[in-house]
Amino acid sequence: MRIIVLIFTFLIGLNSFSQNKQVLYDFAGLPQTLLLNPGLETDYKFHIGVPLLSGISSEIKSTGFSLSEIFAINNNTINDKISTVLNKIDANDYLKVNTQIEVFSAGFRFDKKTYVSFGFYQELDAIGYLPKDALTLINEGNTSYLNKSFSISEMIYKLDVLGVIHAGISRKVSDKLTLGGRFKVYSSALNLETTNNQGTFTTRLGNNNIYVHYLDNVNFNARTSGLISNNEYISDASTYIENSLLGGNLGAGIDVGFTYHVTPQLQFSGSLLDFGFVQHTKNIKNNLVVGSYTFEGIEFEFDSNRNYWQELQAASNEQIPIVNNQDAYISWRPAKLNVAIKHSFGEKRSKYCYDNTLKDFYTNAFGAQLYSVFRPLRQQFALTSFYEKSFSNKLQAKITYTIDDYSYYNIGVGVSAKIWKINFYGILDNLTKLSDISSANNVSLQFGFNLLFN
Amino acid sequence: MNLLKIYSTALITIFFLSCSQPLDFKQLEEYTIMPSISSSLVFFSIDASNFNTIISGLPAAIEVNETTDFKLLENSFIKQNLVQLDFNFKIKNEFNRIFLLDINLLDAQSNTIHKVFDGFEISGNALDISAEVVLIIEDFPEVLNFTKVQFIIGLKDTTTILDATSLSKIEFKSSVVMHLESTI
Repeated sequence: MRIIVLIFTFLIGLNSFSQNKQVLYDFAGLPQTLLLNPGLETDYKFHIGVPLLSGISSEIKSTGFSLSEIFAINNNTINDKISTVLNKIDANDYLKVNTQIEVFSAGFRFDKKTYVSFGFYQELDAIGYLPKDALTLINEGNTSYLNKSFSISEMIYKLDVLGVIHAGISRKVSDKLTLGGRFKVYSSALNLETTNNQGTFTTRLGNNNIYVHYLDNVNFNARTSGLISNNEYISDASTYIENSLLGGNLGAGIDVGFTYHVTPQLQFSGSLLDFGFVQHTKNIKNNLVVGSYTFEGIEFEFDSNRNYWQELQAASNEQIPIVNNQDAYISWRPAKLNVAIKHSFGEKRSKYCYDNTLKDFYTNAFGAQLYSVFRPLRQQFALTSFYEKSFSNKLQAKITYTIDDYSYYNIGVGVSAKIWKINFYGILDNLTKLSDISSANNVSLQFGFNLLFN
Repeated sequence: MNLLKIYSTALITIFFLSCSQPLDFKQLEEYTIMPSISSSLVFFSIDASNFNTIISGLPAAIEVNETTDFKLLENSFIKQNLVQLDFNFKIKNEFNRIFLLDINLLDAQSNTIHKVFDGFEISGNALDISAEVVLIIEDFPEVLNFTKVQFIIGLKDTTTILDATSLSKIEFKSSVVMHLESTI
């Protein structure tokens, strides 16, 4: 019952919290840390994740504005509030959503040096940069913006819904070095993306007419897969679920990682995750617009019997055609990079490992981690310092301080506990914003339950 | 089970301690986008030859008449959310004669549904005439059905024709501003 209450509390929290996997990275030897670095060390014989509950994480992050700036109840109208936000943001600001649910996960020790882990998780990953120019154009039009070039290149978004089947191996190659790798098969249920667009729309005062409108060097490509089938939107949720179970567009990727002990107390680790792609070949619909077009109005030649409007349409179709196609395309996964240095110190204790030997560990550790994810516009970084404390063999905690795009004072905390064979962990992020999470640009939560066997 | 108790209590306490200022997502229903979209319309430059003809062997003055489709209002979003149309005109008349201008909005069957200008007088030697006509859609809902624009221009005094050798011209420029209001 208590666990049900706990789970329920977590699930309520998921709507408003999100994740920071820097806290989870190399934390307490959790099986889920192998998804962040397959080269991390584990000391159990095998593990089984509680189905659907072994790893749940969700994040909603934004730069440039917070929810309360738009939705707070005050005397300002919603139009005023959105207008204020529009004035504040720039094209580098973005909204990001990521949710992962581990459907199942397990692992076993193949031999003394090798641990094999595998599983399946579903992921929703979306990022949309805020196209300030397009939003301004939609919101206010072009009348007040003579000579302003509205940029089409700001239109950048990418949304993936996919299932990931993975299997990985961690191998201790020496007393100092552990290497790991993981192979992933992606099954994409939905992909929407537009990146690397070019072009501008400008209205200027003209010579022949009052205005001249310019669409200059437009190259816009919006790709979709899994959304439209036989010219109809796929509205059946079960189709998306089926497609995430190897029924969709398939791809492959790898994770690689290592841990290196410079000294017994100084550890260096790193990983590259999701270096892979999805080949989209089914249920594709792409929209492509390429060209330049100048419009200064309709020039009358009296008594000419010309069909001006038809000529106008023909010219625009010729000079800046809108093309729909079903061409296959490749979508790269957002690769992530983790690098960490960790210094252990304090009381030296021992714990039983898988082979009934004792393994020494220090009760305290501190260090720094650098996290980076490759996103369409630019790489995003997060720099984290951390302190980790083992209160006993069964209870560990970690506190982090992170500087990233969203905050310069993000404090996170993680706790991992083990009772009998049951391990549970919970991670909260951005604690300083707990008093008003609606004004935070990011807050996060991860939790999970595992069965660990020595 | 002590650890579970402590852990659960701590986390539930954190959740209860965390709070959010009240948010009202329904506000979004009241959000109204109000773009004003400017678009060039018709322009032309005409000289004396356009207004002169021969009738029964005698020179005579005529008016010129031209119509074009203008189907922006066939776009359902624009049609449903249009609240105001501002027509702007700039006219340069190098002749020392007065002209009359009619601008009519026509429906798909070429019926006149609104007269933007009905005998608008273009003074002679007027090099910088500006005019604006504002149509509030609520007052003139029939305007939503316009798909064509008709221009008729001719001499006010048709008894005397223009000098056919004159290099003078009438230059005409126009634009329209579509004011839209739409809730999400």
